Amino acid sequence: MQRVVVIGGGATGSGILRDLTMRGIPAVLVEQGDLVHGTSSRYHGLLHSGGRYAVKDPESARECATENAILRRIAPFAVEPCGGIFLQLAQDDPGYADRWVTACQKAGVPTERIDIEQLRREEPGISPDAVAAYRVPDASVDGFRLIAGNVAAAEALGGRTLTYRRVTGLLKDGPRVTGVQLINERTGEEETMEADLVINAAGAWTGQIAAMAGIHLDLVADRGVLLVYHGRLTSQVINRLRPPGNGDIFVPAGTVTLLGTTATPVASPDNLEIPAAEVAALLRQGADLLPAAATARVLRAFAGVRPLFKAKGDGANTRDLPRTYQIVDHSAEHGVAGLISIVGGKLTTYREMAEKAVDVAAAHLGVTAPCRTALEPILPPPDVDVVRRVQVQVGAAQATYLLDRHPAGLADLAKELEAPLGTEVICECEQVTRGELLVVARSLPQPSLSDIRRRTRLGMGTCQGAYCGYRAAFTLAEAGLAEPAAAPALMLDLQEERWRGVSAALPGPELRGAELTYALYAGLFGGMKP
Amino acid sequence: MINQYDACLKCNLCELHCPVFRVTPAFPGPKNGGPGIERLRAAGKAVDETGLDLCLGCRTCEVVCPSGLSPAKLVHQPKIDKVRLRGLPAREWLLAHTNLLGEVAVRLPGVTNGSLGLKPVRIMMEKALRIDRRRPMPRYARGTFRSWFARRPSPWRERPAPNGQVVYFHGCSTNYMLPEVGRQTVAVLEHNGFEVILPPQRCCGLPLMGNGEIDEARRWAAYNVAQLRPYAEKGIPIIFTSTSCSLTVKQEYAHLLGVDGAEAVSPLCYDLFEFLAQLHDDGRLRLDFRPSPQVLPYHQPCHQRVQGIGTPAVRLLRLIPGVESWNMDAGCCGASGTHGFKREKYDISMAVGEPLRAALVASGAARGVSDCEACRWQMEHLTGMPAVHPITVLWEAYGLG
Amino acid sequence: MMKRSRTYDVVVIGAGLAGLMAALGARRAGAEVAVVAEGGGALELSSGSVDLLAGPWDALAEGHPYRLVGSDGIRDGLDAFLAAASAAGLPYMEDAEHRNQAAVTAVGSLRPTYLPAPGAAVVQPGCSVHVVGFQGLREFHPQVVAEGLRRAMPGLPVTWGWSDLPDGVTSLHPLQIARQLEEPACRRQLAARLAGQGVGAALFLPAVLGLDQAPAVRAELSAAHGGTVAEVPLLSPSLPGLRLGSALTRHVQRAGADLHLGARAVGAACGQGRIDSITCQTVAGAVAYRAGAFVLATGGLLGRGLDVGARVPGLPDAPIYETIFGLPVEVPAGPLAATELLAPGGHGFVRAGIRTDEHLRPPGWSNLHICGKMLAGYDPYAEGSGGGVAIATGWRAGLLAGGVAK
Repeated sequence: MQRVVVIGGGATGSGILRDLTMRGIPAVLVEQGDLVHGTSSRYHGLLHSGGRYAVKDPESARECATENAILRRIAPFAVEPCGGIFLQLAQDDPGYADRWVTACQKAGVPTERIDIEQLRREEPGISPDAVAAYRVPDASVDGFRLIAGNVAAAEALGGRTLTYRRVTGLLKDGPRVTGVQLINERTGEEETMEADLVINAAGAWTGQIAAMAGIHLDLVADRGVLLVYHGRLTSQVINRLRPPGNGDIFVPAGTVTLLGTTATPVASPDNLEIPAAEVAALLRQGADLLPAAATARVLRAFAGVRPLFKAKGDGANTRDLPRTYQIVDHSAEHGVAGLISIVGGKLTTYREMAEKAVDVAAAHLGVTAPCRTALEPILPPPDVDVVRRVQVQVGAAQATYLLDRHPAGLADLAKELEAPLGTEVICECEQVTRGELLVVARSLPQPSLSDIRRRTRLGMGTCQGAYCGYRAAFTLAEAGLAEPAAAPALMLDLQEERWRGVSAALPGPELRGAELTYALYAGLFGGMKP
Repeated sequence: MINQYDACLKCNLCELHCPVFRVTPAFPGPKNGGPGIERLRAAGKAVDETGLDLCLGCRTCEVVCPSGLSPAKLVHQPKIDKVRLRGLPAREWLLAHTNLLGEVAVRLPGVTNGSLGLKPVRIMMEKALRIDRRRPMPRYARGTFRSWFARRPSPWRERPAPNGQVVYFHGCSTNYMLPEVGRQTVAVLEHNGFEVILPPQRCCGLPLMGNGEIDEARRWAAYNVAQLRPYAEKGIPIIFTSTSCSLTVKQEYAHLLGVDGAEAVSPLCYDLFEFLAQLHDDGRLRLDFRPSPQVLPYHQPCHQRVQGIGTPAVRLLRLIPGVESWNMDAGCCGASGTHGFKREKYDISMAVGEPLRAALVASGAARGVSDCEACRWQMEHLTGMPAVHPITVLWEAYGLG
Repeated sequence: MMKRSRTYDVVVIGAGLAGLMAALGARRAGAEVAVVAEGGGALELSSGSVDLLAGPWDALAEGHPYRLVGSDGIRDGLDAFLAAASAAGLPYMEDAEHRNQAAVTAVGSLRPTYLPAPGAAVVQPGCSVHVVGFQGLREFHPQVVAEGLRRAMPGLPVTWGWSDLPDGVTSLHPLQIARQLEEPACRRQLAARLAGQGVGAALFLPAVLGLDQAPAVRAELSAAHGGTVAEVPLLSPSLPGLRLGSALTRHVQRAGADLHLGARAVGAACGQGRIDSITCQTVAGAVAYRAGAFVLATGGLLGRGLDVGARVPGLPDAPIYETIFGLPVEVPAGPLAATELLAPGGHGFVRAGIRTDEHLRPPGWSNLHICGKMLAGYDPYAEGSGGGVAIATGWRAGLLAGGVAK
């Protein structure tokens, strides 16, 4: 018997798990795929300053401004404080800038007008048509690290996380929800899990879960397509200073740059198709801001689905739907006790959403402990002795990558690096060593290379896994973490997953890389498929 | 901004062909040390530059790259940054100032060559300067090429040269150590009806650049450009007998050093054999060669290969009746200018040169041919067999000796 | 001012397998030949074995490059390649019955190949195999290969084991291992370490057994083992590919062709249906290469013979174009790439290329011949035909160009 089951291993669910455990409420999180299976890894990675929403959706803007400051404090391991720019082009409505500045002021979003020539020195790639620019505290946030940090913090307090468990039904006792029915996607086994309270934080899948309790939530699955550039096109986030539209945000993230997004309502949150027309539209509009975006190398495209909440009277255009969120207490609204749903929202405000949801849950459970998630850092600072051990093994530069990627669990990593061959590089583009690969693989049941990729960046660089995927698969086999007979399939799964994104972004300069990958896998490794 | 590394496919061709990478794990290689590191650096990440200075600067990576990149330049940049910060160490200063040393040495060639040949001197140099005692020092000549040129009467005092003028950029090695290459060059050019002009000149600056000293190299380059530009503007070809000098003036004066006016000079620059091959293409080269049956395995200097001009020397040597010549294509010789003198790089230099040694020995020839003096010294050191500039062969075949 | 120029009978653009074969073909026709190339060819990235065709011959589409040269053309090309490779120190062997052989890959699959690289691991019915991996070598796992072989050829006796590398090997990079294994002491120690492994079976090792001296290394190990010692190519670096690329490049120069590396062809001067010269970029400016005939062997997208233009506003797709002559590129209808990497039908973008007549000339040009990957209408990777097409069309293009020029 659990006290609380949280459905959804994205930002909101992991934030709820941490909040619950900090208030002393035992909880378990279930997720249909790997952590960040859904939208939390399928977006542009922007930690909003609030500027984007200031004019149209001031409430969202205010939430973003507050949470942005909090996350920089509690999650420095996941935030790259690169700063952001709103850039007005000659062809943009000059009146909008004034309205925007006023709205930002009202919403508490700090802005600073900067000289356009100064900006050209900072960002030589911006359009010659740029006429005005404002600085905002945008940042880049790594969704995976943020969520892994929340999960690690919750696990330290007794919380549990079960990945690859898909909810197939809700257990009910009359009108009351008493738990969840699950299927283990790796083994095919069915499981049930009873609980005092179920919190539905399934993001884009929230409506499907609510429907299992016979409740209809009016949600819109809004698909956005994004592009990943091979290198850094800018050093700061670049937004276009106009009403939010397609292809108007560039976010630098580590070694790459993301360009987002489009907005297309789709029937199912599992619809992650990438229409060629949307890729072309992104490139065209992105090039308005950064001309090089039209010709720079795009590694891949991907799609994510925003879970938008449609209130009565909202129109059909998803750009007009609010980006704010609601906590739905189904006992009050639909007479179904034991179930709370969180709808809408965005990654930047995940902590506040979690706080509000857990407030409702705590009231039901009779817990009075207050929320402390904004007050304490998610993770303690790394142990200096362990950091030194890592540095001794891989050198100071490489150690910084590892500290970034593994804010928790560094001691295990140090041990693995100290083992024979622990510092042999497996993925050259993103500098992933054997030790890092093994420590991550050991922490997961039957890991796929994509599970490892999300935790290490293996296969996310220049070669998109072509040169490291097979090395990783062989290494897992050699270390007893994968069946040798299954190693080729492990490798090929990663390659096919990467290819879906690569092929969707073609044609472009990456056609050459695509031919190389194809030549290697159909040629040198030929005969794998009849 | 599209960064330089953007086109790298990690196809590994540069790594496969890098002469240093295959002989030492201490060198990160052109792919990881070049575009690989650059991509991380552009993301503001700390990068590990250990071992990058083992690069020989041969630029093979640039030649084989199917994406038009120059990994070598990315690999070399940290050295430039370091020297700018801390200056040149004593040994590097000494090795890089070939012309200053030459000025002293040619005045006392007996003493210089004698003492540089003494074991205790070499041991001392190795201890104090980490200049490897196993590496033979090039011998200084008795008198410079320039002093010979100044003393000699020009054959074109009475009448203008029928084919016009050429400027000769002889470089340091010809002037101080191998004046015969200069004399033979002048003889062959005059035989073909050209008047040779010898403007004042300094070291091209490559030894400085190779050791990371860009600013001083730029000053020398500016001097040379000032000397050469008036001729270039008159359309007078500028001839080089050292392929490293020619590469530097043709390309680096404008690209790496950004010297004003370098673009005006570059299009007039020719490697000697590139120029002679051009004469041949235009039907203007004299073909009055004496038959001289011989086998001449040719080693193409890396700094000529990267120029994209092929192997003009091989083509011309084949015009001499009885000559069998071919490009051995056995990779970098390993000397790479001043690198092979350094204690910590000597073994690498010899390992890099091993395929060339094997190819020379297998050819069964009496001597090898190469346009670059550092390559020739290394060929001799690797095999004990003499190596000559192709102009020597041409000069003999014309019967000018 | 003098204009920079070079005059040859034939100029071949591209130094991959097709370009090198074209140079040899033109030399055979008695022509003076230059090969100009910006970078190395893709030969170094290949398995070093020559694939002819994995599937049935009668299934070849109309307009397939093989149909242009015909079976005699393929035979002539193969004979020329076998002679050249042999002269370059790499004796390739055809199957006596002219069948494909089953080459072993590092993932344990079997891929049909016509001319296995000298020393390449191939399996035949009736043989038994012992696969050995080197501790620490990330690119190879003997059990992965063994399990794959058991699946691919049920009943084949396969065992596997690990070996330590010799003490003299101080690196775990395949290229560095290969060089160090050329040292006599290392070879001897490796032979000793392998003693007792796979007695009576063919010994399959990762392809790191030497660079230029690979035949000697393999011979020494075979003698010690008392049977076959063969190599399985690694995905990267694939040393048998490097060995073939280096040896053939040297051989072409020994055969009298001039190799101009680092020379990027950027344009051409054309007369009435004829190419008069091409322009190459060098460090000191443009050089005009004049010739009686030209061979285009620039190798498609990967070799940058084809490139992708910037996207034109309003058009969803960037156009694929030929970079030197602006020849019309045939791009198959439908999506350029399938959503699956190993899609059974291959990918459209790989089939993009130039259509020619049976003299390998694009329509309207009398002295330009196209060969290798630049030809339209085939997918060398899905078909297993890359090496064969490069050799057959390269040799033919070279002969034709040499004939035209003379």
